[in-house]
Amino acid sequence: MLLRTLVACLLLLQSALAYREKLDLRPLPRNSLLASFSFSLASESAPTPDDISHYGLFPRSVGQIIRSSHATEIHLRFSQGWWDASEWGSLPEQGAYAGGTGVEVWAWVDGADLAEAEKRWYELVNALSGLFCASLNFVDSTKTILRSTAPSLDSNKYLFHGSLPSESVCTENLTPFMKLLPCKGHAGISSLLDGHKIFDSKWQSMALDFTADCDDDSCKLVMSQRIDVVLDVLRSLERQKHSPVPIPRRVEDLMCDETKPYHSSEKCFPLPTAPTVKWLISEIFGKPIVSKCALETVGESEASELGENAGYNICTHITDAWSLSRHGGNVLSSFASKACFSLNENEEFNLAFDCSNTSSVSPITSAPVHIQRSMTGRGQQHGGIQAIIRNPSPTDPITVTYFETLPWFMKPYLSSMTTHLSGPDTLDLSSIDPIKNITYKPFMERVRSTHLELTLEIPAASTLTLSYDFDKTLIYLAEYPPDANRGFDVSPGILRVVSQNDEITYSMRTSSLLLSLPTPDFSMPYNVIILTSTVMALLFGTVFNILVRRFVYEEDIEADKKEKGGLKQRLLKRFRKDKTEKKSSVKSAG
Amino acid sequence: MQEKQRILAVFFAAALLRIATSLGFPGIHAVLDQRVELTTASSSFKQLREGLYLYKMGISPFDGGVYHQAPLLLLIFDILQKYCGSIDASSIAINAVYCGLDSLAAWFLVKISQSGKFAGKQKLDGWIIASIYLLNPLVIATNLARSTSVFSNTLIFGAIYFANCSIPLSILCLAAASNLNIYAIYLLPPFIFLWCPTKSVAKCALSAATFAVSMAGFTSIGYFMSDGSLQYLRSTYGTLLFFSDLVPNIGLWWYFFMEIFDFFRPLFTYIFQLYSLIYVLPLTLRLHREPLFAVVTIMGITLISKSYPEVGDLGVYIALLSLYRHIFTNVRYTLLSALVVIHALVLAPNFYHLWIYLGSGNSNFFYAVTLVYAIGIMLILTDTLRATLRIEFDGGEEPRKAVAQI
Repeated sequence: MLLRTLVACLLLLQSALAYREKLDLRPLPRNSLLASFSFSLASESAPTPDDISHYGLFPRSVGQIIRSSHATEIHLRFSQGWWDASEWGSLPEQGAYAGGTGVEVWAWVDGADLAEAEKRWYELVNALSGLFCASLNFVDSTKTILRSTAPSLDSNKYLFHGSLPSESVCTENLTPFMKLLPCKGHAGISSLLDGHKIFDSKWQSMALDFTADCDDDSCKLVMSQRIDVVLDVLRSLERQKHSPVPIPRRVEDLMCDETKPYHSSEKCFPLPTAPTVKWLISEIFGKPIVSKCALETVGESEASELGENAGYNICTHITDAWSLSRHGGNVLSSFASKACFSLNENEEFNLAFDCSNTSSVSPITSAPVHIQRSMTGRGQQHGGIQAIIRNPSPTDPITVTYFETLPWFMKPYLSSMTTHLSGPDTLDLSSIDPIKNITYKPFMERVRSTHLELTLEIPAASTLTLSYDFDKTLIYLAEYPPDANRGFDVSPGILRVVSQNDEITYSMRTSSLLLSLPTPDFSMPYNVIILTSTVMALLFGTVFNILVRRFVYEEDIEADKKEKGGLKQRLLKRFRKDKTEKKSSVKSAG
Repeated sequence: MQEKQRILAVFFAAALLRIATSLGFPGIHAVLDQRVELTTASSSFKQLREGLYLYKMGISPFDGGVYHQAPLLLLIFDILQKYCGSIDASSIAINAVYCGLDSLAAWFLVKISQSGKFAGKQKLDGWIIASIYLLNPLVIATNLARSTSVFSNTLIFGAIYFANCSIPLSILCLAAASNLNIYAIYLLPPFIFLWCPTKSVAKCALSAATFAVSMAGFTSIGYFMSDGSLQYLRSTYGTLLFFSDLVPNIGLWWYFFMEIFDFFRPLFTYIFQLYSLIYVLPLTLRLHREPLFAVVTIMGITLISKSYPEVGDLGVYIALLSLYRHIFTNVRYTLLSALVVIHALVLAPNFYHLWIYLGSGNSNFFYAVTLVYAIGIMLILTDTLRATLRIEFDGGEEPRKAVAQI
C-alpha cells in the first residue's frame, strides 16, 4: 500500500533528518525529459500535540491544519497531462506520487464517530483549499468517498477520498507549494520551479504528503513534497529561441519512422524528434540552480546507506550516448549510467547535456499493468463505461484493485456489468471469474456519488474487458455549469497492483472522462412556468366549471327570457328603476 | 356462445401477439424499456432488475438512487426468480406473468361490463371491450416494455370487479395497487361509494379502515425487507412525491422542476401534489351516483397530474371509458381530442430523438409535445365528464333537448 511505502521512507528520514531535497533527471525516448523534484521535511518532536514551538522548518500553517482537523495523514495530488506508459514505462516511484487529472485529496481523520470525522474532513478540505488556492472547498458529500475505517487507540480513523477532475492545475497551486519549502524557491533545486516551464509539459504531477507521527508522549510532523514532470526538450528549446514560426527541419535532422510500409530512402515519415540534441538545465528550466539551500541537512542513516552518494542533490540517469559537462557544484559519482552532483552554497550550478543518439536512454522498466477506460454508446440518455485492463506479464497473473467514483447524475447498473477475458489460447479463460470481490455503494441524488471497488485477478498475458451501462439524468437548471454543453468530468479510476502479501506494488490512474448530459433551454424558466401553469389552470378551470354549474334546458331559458324580457328590456327596466329611485331619494333629500 | 368464442379469440390473439413478439424480437424489451414515454422511475423493469440484483448482493436497494419502486414488487420478483431462475425480460416466466396480467385485466374489464352494475346500461360487446384493452398499441408497448405499472393497472381493474362481488378482495386489490402506484390512493373516496352503496357511515368507515390496515400491511413489507430501516419510504414514495429523480417523461413535472428557481422548488412541489389531489373529493361528491365514473375521471386526471406518468395509463383510461358506451353519443370533440392525442403520441418519440440523439432540436420540442398531450387528455376528460353529467341531468335517458350550463 501507498501508505506503507510512505511510512517506510519516512521512518528512514525520521532518524535525524530535518530537510532534504533531490532532483533526478532522466531522459526519455523521443526527447522527453523526466524531472523528479523531491523535498522531505520533518518537524522536531514536540512533547505534547499542543506545543507549537517545535515545528522547526515545518510550515506552521500546515501544522495547525493537521492539529485542528485531527488528521494523521493528508495526501494531495495536483496532476495534468497523460503519462504514456508504452513509451515511458512505469510511473516514477511505482506511481506512489502520481495523481489523476485534476486535484485529488485523501486523508485519515480521527473521530469518535463518523459524523465528527466527517465534520473535521470538511474543515480540512476547506482549510487546504485556502492554503493551496484550489477549489477543494467544492469537495462536498457528493465528491467524498469514505474508503475505509480503522479502529485507533481511543477513537476511530476514517479514510476519506475526494477528487476534482475538472480542476485545472496551474501556477496558483505551485506558488503555495513552493512557499512551504524552507528555501521557498530562492535557493536549492526549487529555484528551478517556474510555472511557465513546469506546466508547459506533457505530464506533471505535484504531490504533497503530510503525516503526523505520534507516539505516547511526543508528536512529529513529516512532510514530503514532490513534483514529477515530463518535459518536451525540443519544445522547451524552441521556446528558448523565441521562434513562434515553425521552421521545416533540415534533411539531416529528420528521423524517419522506419516501420511505415512506404519508408524508403526517398520517402520519410518524420518522427517528432531529433537524432542529436544539446541542452543546458538553464535552457530547459529558464535559469540555473541559484545555490545550495543552506537549510538542508544530511542524516547519518542516509550517509551510511548511500555511501559516496550521500548528500547528492542532482542525479542523472543516462547512457553512453550522453556526455555531461558541469558548471559549479561537486561530482559525487560519475558512472556512465548515473552521475550525481551536490550543490555548493553561493555558487550557481548548471549542467550541459550533449547527446549523440536521443533514442538511447537508460533502460525503462515497463509498467506491470495497463488500463484504458472509455465511454461507449451514443446520445444523451444512456451510455456505458468500458475499462480494458491488460496484464503484460507472460508468466504471472496479477491481482489488482480497481477503484472508481461516479458522480450522482450517472446512474450505473451493476446488474449490467460484464467481464470478458481474452488471452493466449493455452489458457482456458471461460471458466475463470476475474472478479474476486465487489465493494459497491450506490449513489444517492445530490447526497453522495457511486463508489465502486473491484478486486480483479487477471491471468498472465491476458486482457480483461470490464463494461457496464449507465443512465444519464437531468439536473436542475442552476446545477449546470456555465459551459453546460462541454460536459461533466468523471474522476479518473484508480488501479492498484496488489502483491501476495496485500501490499500495493504499483498504482496508476486512468484518464478522466467527459460526460455530456442532456441540457434544457437555459432561457426558458419564465416561459415554462407560464405555459405549464396555463395548461394546469385550464384543466382546473374547465373541470370545476363543469362540476359546479348546473344544467338547464335551453327551452327553459327561452321561457325565462320571455317572462323577464330580453337583455335590452331588462337593462332598460333596471335603468328606469334606478332613475325613479334616485329621483325619489333626491326628492326626499330636498 | 358466439360472443364467448369471440372473446376467447381476442384473448388468444392478444396473447399470441405478445409472446410471438417477445420470442421473435428478444431485444425489443430493452428498446421499449428505454423509451421515456413508456417507462419511468416508478415502473422501469431495468431498474427493478438492478434493485433485485443489489438485494441479492446484500446491498439495500433502497439506500441508493436507482430503485424507486414498491418493495412489494421486489418481493414478487424475488420469489419469481427463486422458482423460475432467470428473470430476463424475454424469459418464459416473465412472458407468462405479463401476458397473464394483461389477460386478467381484460377479463376483469369484460366482467365489469357484463355485470352492468356500475357502468352504463348500453354496453359494447365483450370482445370489443377486450380488444380495446388488449390490442391497444399503448397497452401492448407498455406490456412489452415490461413496465411494472401493468401490475397496479390489473389490480385496479380487479378492485373494480371485486367491488361487485367480494368487497374484502376489492379492498385488498386497491390497497395493493396503491402500494405499487401511490396515486391509486386517490381512488379510495369513490371506491368507498362502490363498496357501500347504501352509504351507511359505519360500513364506509369499516371499509376505509380495512383499506388503511391492508395498505399499512403492504407498505411494511419494505420495513422487513430492509432489516428494520425506514429508508425505503424516502427512496420509493419520497421520490414519487418530491420528484427527486429528474428524467424526462410525458408529464408536466420534469421540465417545470428542472427550470424552476431553487427557492421556489419546495413550494411548487407541494402545489403540484395538491393540484392532483384537489380533484378527488369534488369529483367523488358530484359523481356520487356513478362512483365508477369518478374512478375513471380521477384516473384520467392523474394521467396529467402525477409525477411520473406514462402512456400506458392512457390505454387503461381508454379501456375504462369503453365501459360507457352511452356517453359516446354526447361527447362533442371526439375527432379533435383524438387527433390531438395521436399527434402528441407520434411527435413525442420523434422530438425526443431530435433532442437527445441528433441534437438538432432542443428540450423545448419534447416539452411542447407534453403540453399538447396534456391538452388532448384534458379535452377527453372534460368532454366525457360533461357528457356524463348531462346524461345524469336527463335522468339516464337519451337526451333529446338542448341544454346549457349556467
